[in-house]
Amino acid sequence: MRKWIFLLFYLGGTILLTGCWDLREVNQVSIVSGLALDQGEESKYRLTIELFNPTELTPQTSSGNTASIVFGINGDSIGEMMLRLNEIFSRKPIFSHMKTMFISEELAKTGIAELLDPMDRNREIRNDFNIMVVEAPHKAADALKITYPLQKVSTLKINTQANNFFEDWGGDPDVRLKDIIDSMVSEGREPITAMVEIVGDPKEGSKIENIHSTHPNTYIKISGIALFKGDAMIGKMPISATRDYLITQNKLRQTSLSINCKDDQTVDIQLKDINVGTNVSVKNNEPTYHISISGEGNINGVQCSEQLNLSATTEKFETKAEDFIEGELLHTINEVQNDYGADIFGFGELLYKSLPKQFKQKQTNWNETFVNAKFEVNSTIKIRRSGLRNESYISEINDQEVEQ
Amino acid sequence: MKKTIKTFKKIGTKETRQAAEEITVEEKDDLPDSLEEHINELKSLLHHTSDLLIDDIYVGSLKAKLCYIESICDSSHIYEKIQHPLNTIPTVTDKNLRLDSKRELIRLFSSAQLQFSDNLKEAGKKLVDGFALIILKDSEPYCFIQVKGAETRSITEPTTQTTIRGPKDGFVEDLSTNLSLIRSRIKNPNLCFQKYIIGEDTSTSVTIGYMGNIVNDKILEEVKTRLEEIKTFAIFESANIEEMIADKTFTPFPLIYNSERPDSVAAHIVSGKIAVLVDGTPFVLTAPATFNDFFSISEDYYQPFFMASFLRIIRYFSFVISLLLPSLYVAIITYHHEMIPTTLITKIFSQREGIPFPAVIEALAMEITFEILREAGVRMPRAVGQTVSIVGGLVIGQSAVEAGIVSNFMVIIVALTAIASFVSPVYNLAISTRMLRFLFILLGGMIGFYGIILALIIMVAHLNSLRSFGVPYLTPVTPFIASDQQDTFVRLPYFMMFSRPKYLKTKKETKQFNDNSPTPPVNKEGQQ
Repeated sequence: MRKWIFLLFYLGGTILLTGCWDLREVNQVSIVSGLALDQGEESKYRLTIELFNPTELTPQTSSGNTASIVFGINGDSIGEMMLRLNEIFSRKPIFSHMKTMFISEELAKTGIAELLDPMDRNREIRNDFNIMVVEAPHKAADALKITYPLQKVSTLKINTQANNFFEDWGGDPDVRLKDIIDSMVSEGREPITAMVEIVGDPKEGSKIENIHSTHPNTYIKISGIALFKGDAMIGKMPISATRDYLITQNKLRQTSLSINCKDDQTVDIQLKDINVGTNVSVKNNEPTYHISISGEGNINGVQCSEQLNLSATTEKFETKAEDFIEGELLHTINEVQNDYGADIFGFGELLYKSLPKQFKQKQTNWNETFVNAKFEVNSTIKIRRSGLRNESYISEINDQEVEQ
Repeated sequence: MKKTIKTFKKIGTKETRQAAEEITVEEKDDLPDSLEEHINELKSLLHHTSDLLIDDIYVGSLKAKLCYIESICDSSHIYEKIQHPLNTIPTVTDKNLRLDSKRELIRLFSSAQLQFSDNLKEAGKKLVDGFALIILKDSEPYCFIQVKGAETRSITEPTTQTTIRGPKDGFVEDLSTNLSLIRSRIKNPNLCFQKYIIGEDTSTSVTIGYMGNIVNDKILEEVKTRLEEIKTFAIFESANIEEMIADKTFTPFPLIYNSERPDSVAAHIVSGKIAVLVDGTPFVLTAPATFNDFFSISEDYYQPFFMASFLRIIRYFSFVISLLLPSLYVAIITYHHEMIPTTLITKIFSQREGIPFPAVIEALAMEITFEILREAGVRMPRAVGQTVSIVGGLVIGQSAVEAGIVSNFMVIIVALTAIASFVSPVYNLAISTRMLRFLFILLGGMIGFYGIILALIIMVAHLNSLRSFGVPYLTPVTPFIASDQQDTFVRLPYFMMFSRPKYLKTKKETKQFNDNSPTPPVNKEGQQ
């Protein structure tokens, strides 16, 4: 019996004395849905956070107010600012549901290494949020304030938008916090992030009137990728480069190619089951990369009057699509080589994995070697289906014109 | 002192069918000398109870007394078994007819079993057990005729374990009816019953039933020993016996299965278990019981095995829900906000906006409210049943939410938990989760998932330590018995269940010999 009483006291003590130390009741906290980092005017940084206003997100309790609240504070270090948010805000912020992080172009150009360490360290912050650079002249904080009718929280909107764009077309590089940190550390790869542009006046966009209009005046557009060297941003490229980047990473799920058919008419091919294999060989101390792409396509739309039921026609389209995708990819890689000289594709890592000794010789100034590297792209695209019909009705219209 | 008494002896003549025979009987000292004295002794033995009836009767020309306790005897039995035979006695003119011998009495009351005793105390016990007593002559043994006919309930559908398909009869309070329900299902000479009288004050009949050729003798011995060792004043329900013979009393989990269904008890007996029937209750115990037994019901074997297996998995799932759901909810919204999808957490946030209590208090309050409602619903008179459901449903469900005291989510959680706890086919197990749930909520509110996992570890360890008549409680899961998996979480088709539960270590392990799987008939040429 004494044993049991002792056990009871022991257990009771351990539970009652230690329990509840990290208790955070739901109505004492607020969820941070996104944060934005800008250069501060007086201090080093300005941290802006967007918080959910949950009552507005539920139709039953909604009263027409904004669904999110945006606050910003100034400070010299991110880690400290994240704990000092109560300077302006009433509840405890929790970061575990953060969806998007915006960095201003201005700040990205000066370097992002310092910014990401607190994110990497924090127990609450996950590795599943989008990191995006906001194009100048707008500030990163502005991106948090743009309202949108369907998803009233702007970071939620951007998160879904980017994920869908990545899955359907390949317009978002699908880069996460750990990827950026890894590529900053790696000698054979340079970081990139997605890039967004604010279209319209951000002041107008932050008002609730923006979502009352059928055509929102201000909105956020995914505009491409931001290229980094080391931890500093060196340039930007359009979304077609994003797709080519995803091809080199073998991460492209699905995309759509619009290839020339006749004169200015086009054929749209929806490409699926894309597989990319990259090999490297070194000749004369210069690496050569062989990128082979295979994919299967559906014909999505036809503007010309080609007879699609003939295998010759599909073969012609296949060749054109192969040429198109090879040309695009080579063009993008060459542009990165010549204009920026930063290996955002991680070709150095590939060399390290296949021929470590060769990479060891070149690793100190890999980017210079990358600039001189040669690329060979070949692709095999098979057109499998053409949707619900073979021949387009356009060819019938054309026939009638000929008869007349 | 010995005295010779004259009895009849058969003589070969036709006029006199019987003749005297001399046998010696030991005469008891305590037998009173006259009929009136007999009656007085008997009356004082029964403390002059008012329902003791004493009639004067004549057996032939002989004056006798008929005593019985009116409240437990059936008057039609008395007429059939006693008065009718007496009326058929030929007229007293026949001098040779002497109606004071045992043998003649047995002939006379041939429609009933006749018992004799010359002990007054035993006579008293027989009287309260539903026997009529005939005192024939001074200084003679008493003779008893079974005329028991106390009011009993007729066989009705069981109220606790209802099934959609399956037999609709249930046990009743009367022991002999219950025995007949089992006997009529197992027509096998190996089925045997053994009777015990337990309870100093109530003298309740307790009967164990088992298959003599199947049952494990060690378990049987153990059941018998434990029953014999019971020393108590009263037994009113099989639960009294259950608490006396269970391996461990300080546990929330039931260690002996109970059922109101004869088919389920018969199935347990056939599989090698031992049934304990108690007079006066329709709930029959079967032992040994394992944890899995409480998740199966006889209907599992009457529905297609796919459906039965699915429903059984649903039952296990509901057990987990009713045990853990409120505590998981409390733990998640007080400690682990990152566990919930973002859209869901915004919903929860908006619901909990302005709720004055912490989630633990809210959960405990709602659970206790629900327990009060449930207890009231079970105990209150039927006539006010509607009031409780209206007040309970409206006040607790709606007004509390509208008043902003509890959140909608908590109401959903509590309601779901409550419904899940009703899924368990055996009520005993459902109550155990009701109690443990509070512990889990407290721990979940204090130290989150860590506390819940700790409590789960302790619970599983405790379950592992339990035994039911020496059989591990969690078998056939731990210790794992592969062949018993045929009827644990899923049920295999009937023709594939070959053996009786291995953990019972029965004398006859095989249930059926080959798999007579249903196949299309094959004609003589060997073609289909």
